[in-house]
This record gives sequence, C-alpha cells and structure tokens, in this order.
Amino acid sequence: MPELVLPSGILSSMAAWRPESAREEASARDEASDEALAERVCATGDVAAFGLLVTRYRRRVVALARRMLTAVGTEEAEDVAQEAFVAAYDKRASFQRGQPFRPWLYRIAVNRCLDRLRAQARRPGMVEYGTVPEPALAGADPIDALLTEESEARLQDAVAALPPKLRAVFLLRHLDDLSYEEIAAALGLPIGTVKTHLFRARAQLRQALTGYLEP
Amino acid sequence: MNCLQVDNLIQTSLDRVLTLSEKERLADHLETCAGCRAAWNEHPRLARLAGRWVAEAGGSRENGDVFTAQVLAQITSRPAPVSPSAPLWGHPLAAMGLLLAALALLPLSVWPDLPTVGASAHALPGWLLANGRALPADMAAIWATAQSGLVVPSWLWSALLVAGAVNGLFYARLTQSRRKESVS
Repeated sequence: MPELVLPSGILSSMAAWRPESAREEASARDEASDEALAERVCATGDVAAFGLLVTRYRRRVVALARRMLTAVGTEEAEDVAQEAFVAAYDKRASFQRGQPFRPWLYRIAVNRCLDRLRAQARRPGMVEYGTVPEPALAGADPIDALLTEESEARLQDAVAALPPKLRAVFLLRHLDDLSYEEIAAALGLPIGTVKTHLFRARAQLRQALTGYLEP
Repeated sequence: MNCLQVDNLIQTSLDRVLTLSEKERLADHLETCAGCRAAWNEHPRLARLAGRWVAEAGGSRENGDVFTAQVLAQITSRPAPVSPSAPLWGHPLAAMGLLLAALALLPLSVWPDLPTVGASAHALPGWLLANGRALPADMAAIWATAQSGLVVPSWLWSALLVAGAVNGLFYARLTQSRRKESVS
C-alpha cells in the first residue's frame, strides 16, 4: 500500500509573488490591506493607493493574461493586464466595502481576457503564434530542463485546448491559491460549478500530459 | 468507491485536508487499484507543474515600476469617466414619459374634426355613425376648448414618439453593455 502522504502547501503559490525590488518591498510593508486600499480608491479616487495595488498584483494579472490568452507574448499580455487595471480603476465604484479585493480584480481581468479571446476568434488571421520559450533554470541538469520545457509546452497546449471557462477556473486556482468561493465570486459561478469545472480541467490536463507526469 | 469517486477525492485532497474517514476509504481503494495509484502520484505533480508554469508567466520583477507608471499615466491622462447615474439619453422613465405624451397628443392632432353633440350627421366619422354614439356634453366642451386653445401639429407628437423610441433604444444598449460587464 502506498504511503498516504498527503501533499501540503502544493498550491501555495504566494511565495512566487514575494517582492524583490525595494519599491515592491515598501508597498508590501505598507500596512494597508488590499481591501483598505481599494476602499480608499473607491471613495476618493486616490491614484497613489491604486498604484500600490497595481504594484502588488502586476505579475499575477500579467500571468493570468498570458496563460488565458495562450498564443500571445509577454508584451501583449502586459497590454491586456494594463487594460484590466485601467478598467478596474474606472469601475472602482463597483467595489463594495467589505468585499474581498482579489476576486473583484480577477473578475475584471478575466473579462478583459475573454473579450480579447472573442476578438481573436473573430479575426483568426490576427492570432500571434510562437511564444518565446521559457529559459531553463540556471544550473539545472540539461536533461531535466528539457523535460521541464517539454512538459510545460505540452501543458500550454493542453490548457489552450480547454474551453475558456474551464481555463479561467484552473488558472485562478493555480495562480493565487483562490478558494472555490473566491473563484465563484470572481467568475459569477455557483461553487458546485467551479468544482466541476476544476476537476474536469485537471482530468483533461492529466490525460494530455500522459507520460510527462510519471516519476 | 469507484475510480471516478476516488479521482474526485484525490483532487479534493489538493484543495483541502481530507477527513479521517475519507483518508481511510482512499487508502483502501489505492491498495487494490493501480490506475488510481497512478492518479494519486500524477495529480500533485500536475499541480506543481501548473503552479510553476503560471508563476513563470508573471514576467520580470524588474519592470514593475515602469508598468505601474504606464497604468497610472493612462488613468491620469484621460478625461473623468461618465458618472454612473442614469444619463438623459437612456433613462427608462424619460423614454416611457415621452412615448405616453406622444400617445396622449396623437388624437388631438390626428382627429381635429371630432364633432361634439349636436353636430350634423355628415360631420361624424364613420365609426361613430356605425355605433350611433357621440361625445357627451361635458366632454364636448373640453374638446372644444382643447381644439381652440391647443394647437397640436402632427410633427409634435411625431417628434415625441421618435424621442421616446430613441431614448428607449439608448436604455436598451446601456443595459446590454452593463450586463456584459458581468461574467455569465
């Protein structure tokens, strides 16, 4: 019988977003929570407070845009991310006091991505192909690095093949460790539907990565 | 438990801690099912791969200040957004009011010759003759006053009708665009 060692903290991706630059550290040390900053922006249109939120969430929103849109490079993903932040500022009146900030922001970002996907579908000739492959980790074994690159390329293709709603649920779960409730709030879906979408997405991806997930 | 239920339980274990009973049922099944044992190993690896793959897409940590400055520049360089309160064009009550006003004024302009009691028979419209009815005296007085004091040309009710219809169309478009902002 295999030892039932349950995974712990596998999906805790918060470490990936730990700030490194001095400016990011200053904003991270700022004691105001995301919700407090958002309420300040909502009440007074405080651009500086909004800038702190942009700094905190930039990489996450760019990552979401890049993985939702699949066939785009970093530059276009950053354009979409900037559009999402500008839209969030424009819609600041819709942020309600007491509401968590992350689902609200990701809802706007996912909407922007879905709009871009619909625009791409209407103009198939305009889709950009050939994203820049991720460089291998420094010092990593070349065979392991190749396998990782292949795995990630396979994962990218498999995620691109998911329907947009399943893709959004899967990415939000792995992007920022959002709970089912937060994903449901972000996408306007019932919690049961979120769970179903997530399980279906994982099952499809596991099938697509057959051979790449073995020890 | 069947393999589909076990797969769901394995995936659930990625998102929360399983109860003791769930762990026991899962362990019992994994003892005898090689396929599910493979799933037990592969799901966490997929989760780790996905987490790394998503995080890598966040871009360089170094360009954060530039990105933030660009976003803030876009915000501060644009005119203030339109107030969320209902605009003049696209207000549902305004649209309904204009349409009702147009309908109320329509008879005054379309039928200016509506006769009063006592008028000669040939002045009555055909439908009144057919029904043998005419306006009662008090209404006839009101009608006469309206005709003499209120000139309602047909272009006025037409303009009100068009204004009401256009307002209604704007309201429909606004409602549609607001609905689009929520993810279905």
